[in-house]
Parts: sequence; structure tokens; C-alpha cells
Amino acid sequence: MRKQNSFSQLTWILLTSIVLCIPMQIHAAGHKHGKHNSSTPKTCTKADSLATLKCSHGPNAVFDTNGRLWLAWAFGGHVYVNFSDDKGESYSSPVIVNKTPEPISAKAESPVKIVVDNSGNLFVSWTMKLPKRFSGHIRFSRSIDGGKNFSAPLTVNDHLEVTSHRFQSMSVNKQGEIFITWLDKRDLLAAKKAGKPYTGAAIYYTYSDNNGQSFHPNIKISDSSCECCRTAMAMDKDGLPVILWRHIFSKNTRDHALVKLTDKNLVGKIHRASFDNWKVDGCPHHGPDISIGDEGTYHLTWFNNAPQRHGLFYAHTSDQGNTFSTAVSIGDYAAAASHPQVLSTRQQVYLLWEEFDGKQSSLMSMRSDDKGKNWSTEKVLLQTKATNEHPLLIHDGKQAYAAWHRPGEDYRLLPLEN
Amino acid sequence: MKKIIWFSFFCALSLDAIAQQPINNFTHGSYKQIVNQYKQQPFVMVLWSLDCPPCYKELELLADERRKHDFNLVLISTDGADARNEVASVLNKYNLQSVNSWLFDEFSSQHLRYEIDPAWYGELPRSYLFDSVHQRKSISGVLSTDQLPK
Repeated sequence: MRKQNSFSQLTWILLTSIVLCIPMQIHAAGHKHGKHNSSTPKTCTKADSLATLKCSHGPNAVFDTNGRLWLAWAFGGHVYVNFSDDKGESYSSPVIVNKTPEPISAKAESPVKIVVDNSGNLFVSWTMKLPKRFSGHIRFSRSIDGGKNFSAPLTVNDHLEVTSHRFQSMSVNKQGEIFITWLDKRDLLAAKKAGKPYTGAAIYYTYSDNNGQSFHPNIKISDSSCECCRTAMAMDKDGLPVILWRHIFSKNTRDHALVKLTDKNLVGKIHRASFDNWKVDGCPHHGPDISIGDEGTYHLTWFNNAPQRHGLFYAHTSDQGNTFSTAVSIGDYAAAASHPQVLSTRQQVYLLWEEFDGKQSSLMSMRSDDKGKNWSTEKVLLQTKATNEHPLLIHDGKQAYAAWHRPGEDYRLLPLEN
Repeated sequence: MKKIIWFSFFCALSLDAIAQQPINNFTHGSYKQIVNQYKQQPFVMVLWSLDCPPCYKELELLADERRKHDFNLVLISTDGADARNEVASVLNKYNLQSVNSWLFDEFSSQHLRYEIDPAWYGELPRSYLFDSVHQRKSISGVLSTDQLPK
């Protein structure tokens, strides 16, 4: 009798479990199905797919003084660097930067960064993902032998607790001094521990004056930056960087702030650079860009989405941020104009952005021949399937180019009209 | 004793399975499907992502409000199919695993965003409050409780 009881009990338990477990199986099946629709094309998701620029994430590009195009990109736990001597027609074999693999965050808003100094030294930085959500370290490596070998990566942020140190920008000046800025949540963490309120993240920077062998202690620029938009940095004519970022003004107004270092160790006055008054307790994932002309004009572009003032904007300042030109709207808001870039060369200023018509993405550009006062009509450079990577503006000293990447397709380099 | 342990184990598995809704794959046509699912009913559709700190505030608020009273809620993560496990674990953490949940098949896909709303630039969280005739109001940023259905 006892045996029969335990048998029927066990049967009941098993049957119940089988019936009740069905939804879980469906859930698991849904997961399997989803995997086939990954954002990366199938040719790039095979286990044996090679580390190629085509299949990379977050590529970034820069020309050296000899006109060689250098690219840095992420693939499967490594950062790679390769180059092209024929303006993107062909590429060298990639060289691994970090020999030991590590989790790398290289999405559109925060790609790998590469800069090259006048002596041809290459500097690469990226964000290493840490186990906790939103957390990361800013990593750095250099090559002083023309890209053949890279140094063991070092962590640039000197606060090493597991929190967010992400969205870095990097520039090098004519003296070869390297500046890196990033969004940093060490102060938010400290405030939380102390039970105090803290808005947004902070923005920090550091620099190296020994060609990237080491970096100076981190210096805070400001509290209360927006926490999920790319930062932007450009080198002023005196060799000190100017930094532009999305800031949180008052409670939740996400406009932009600009600062110039007045010395390598000294943060200058912080200026408000946009006045669109976008009040949002949210993540725009949409940072600004800055470029500085030889004569010292700062050219700025950004996105905002306030009810009254929305879309892409351009403005410039000739007095280091004390006054700004009237911000002009660029692109078609109805066509989702987004992710603007600006580049100032000796003669021209270029603007570049994406638009989307529901089917395909367009790469749009405009040119100014008078330092940003007047602009040409906008031009469609390229139409392609939508992509999550954002376009870049680069130049080789003679010619400006738009660079754009869609995972699984060739890297595009398009010359812009002079 | 053994039987009790087995029973507890199966019960735990089964309860988890009951509470857990499958996360639907959000692809071309899914937006229309969702709207049709709530014919003549008001509903709240919230887009969020793992990489958006304020989105967690929003999830917490939604979970709190749903504890107080039930309303039709659709959650759509824009993270892409690769993030399915992580998305599921966040929904579990906020006790939102029984909500009608969807996941973009491609990270922040421009096509899918456009299908929902050409005027949405991808900022998150992004909420749409649909009334019973499906006139909708869009809100960027974390909702406040007074914006949610009573």
C-alpha cells in the first residue's frame, strides 16, 4: 500500500512538472530562434570566422602624416589595428593589440579610438567591460614601431572599483602628449555609499607626456554629465584640448557643456554650449562632436530633442566658448537626421550625418568655405541598408573623407568635395 | 525526505515556468501585431534597454504600479537577440516576467524604431500611452506615476 502511494505520488509530480514545464521549453525555443536574427550578418557569426575589418565592431580610422590610413577595431575579445596605403582599396593583415583577450565594449556610440602623433606613434584606447552592468575600464595601448607591436594594455582610470568608466575620447597634440577624457561614475558610487543624491555621471581626463608609457593621475572636469552619450575632444592650436559633452543642467536639462584646459593640469571655465532645454530623465545615446580650425575657431555639432528645438544643430565660437554663433538646424528632422560629425580642415568645414527614410540610410554632408558662416546645400553621399555604426569624418591633410562601416560589408571611405 | 526535496525542486521549476512569459521576437510587423492585440483597449508600451540606467528606474516604477493595480503593459527591449538571457534576468529581477515582453531582433534597429515611430530618435526609456481608440501619446524619459493609467 505504501509502495503504491509513493508510486502514484511520483507519477503525479512528474506529470505536473512535464505539463508545467512546457512554457519554459517554449521560452527556450524562443531564445534559440532569436539567435538567428543577431545584428551581425551570418557570415560574421560563424565560430571559425576570421578577425576581419568587415566583421569588426566599433571601427575607427585616422590618417598619419604620410597619408597612411590606420584602423582600430574590435573582434572577439581583441582590439586589432591594420592600415591601408591606397585609401581603403586594400588593407594590411591585422595586428593584435591586446594579446590576452578581454571583454570589449565597442558599440556605435563608443567605438575603439585610435590617434597617431607626428612621429608615427600609434595610440589606441577602448572600453573593457566589467562584470557589473554599465561598468568598464578605459584601456590604452601604444605602438612605437609603426604598428608592428603594441604595448601591454594599461588601465587609464585610476579609480578601479567596478563602476562605469566609459565613453572615452582621445587626442594627441604636436608635442606627442596624449589626452583622454571619459564619463566616470566614481563620484556617484561614493555618493551612493554616503547615502547622498548624485545626478548623472562625472567627466574626468588624464594625459601622458611620455608617449603613452604612463598617465598622470586623473583630474575631474565636472560632476553631472549625462551618462550614456559619447564625449568629444579636439586639440586647440596651443596644444591643449577642448572637450564637449552632454551635461545635465539644473534637474534634468540635457544640453551641452564645453571646456578648454588652460594648462595640462588645469580645467578652464565650463561654458554652456547649447540652449535647447531638452528636459529628459532618459538616455539619448547621442553625443556631440567638435573640430577646431587652424585659426582656433571651435566648430560644434549636436543632437537635441526638446519639443521646441529639436534635431541636429551646428554652431561655432571664435572666443573659446565665451560667445557662440546662432545655432543652425541641419538635416531633416522628419528623416531622423542623427549622429552628426564635424571636421575643420585648412579651407573648409564639413558636416556629416545620417538620415533614414524607413527603408534605407543616407549619409549626408554639407560644406562651408567661410569657417561655418554659410553652408552649401546638403548632399547625399551614399545610400545603404541601415547600420548601427556611426559615420566618421577624417582627413589626410589634403582631402577630407567620410568613413562608414556596416558589419559584414566592406569599410567605406568616400572622398568629399574640396 | 528525498521525496520532499524532489517535490520542492519540481515545484520550483514549474512555478518559474508558469510565471515566465516567453519574450517575443520583435521584428518587422510586430508593432502592428501588438496594437491589434489590444483592440479597443488602452495600453502602455515601454521601450527600454540594458544599457540605459534610467530604464531601471522606469522598470521599478512599472512593477510598483502593477502591484497596485493591473493595466495592459507591453515591454520592448531594444537590445537585440543576443541579449535575450540578460533581458530575461532583468525582467525577473523586477518581477516583470509575466508582462507581454518583446525583444528587438537587432540592437536598436533603425527599421524597427521607424516602424514604431519615425519621430523617435532612440532615446530611452520611450513610452507610448494608448487610449482605447488607440490615439497615442509619446513620452521620452522616465514616466511619472500620474502619467500611468489609474
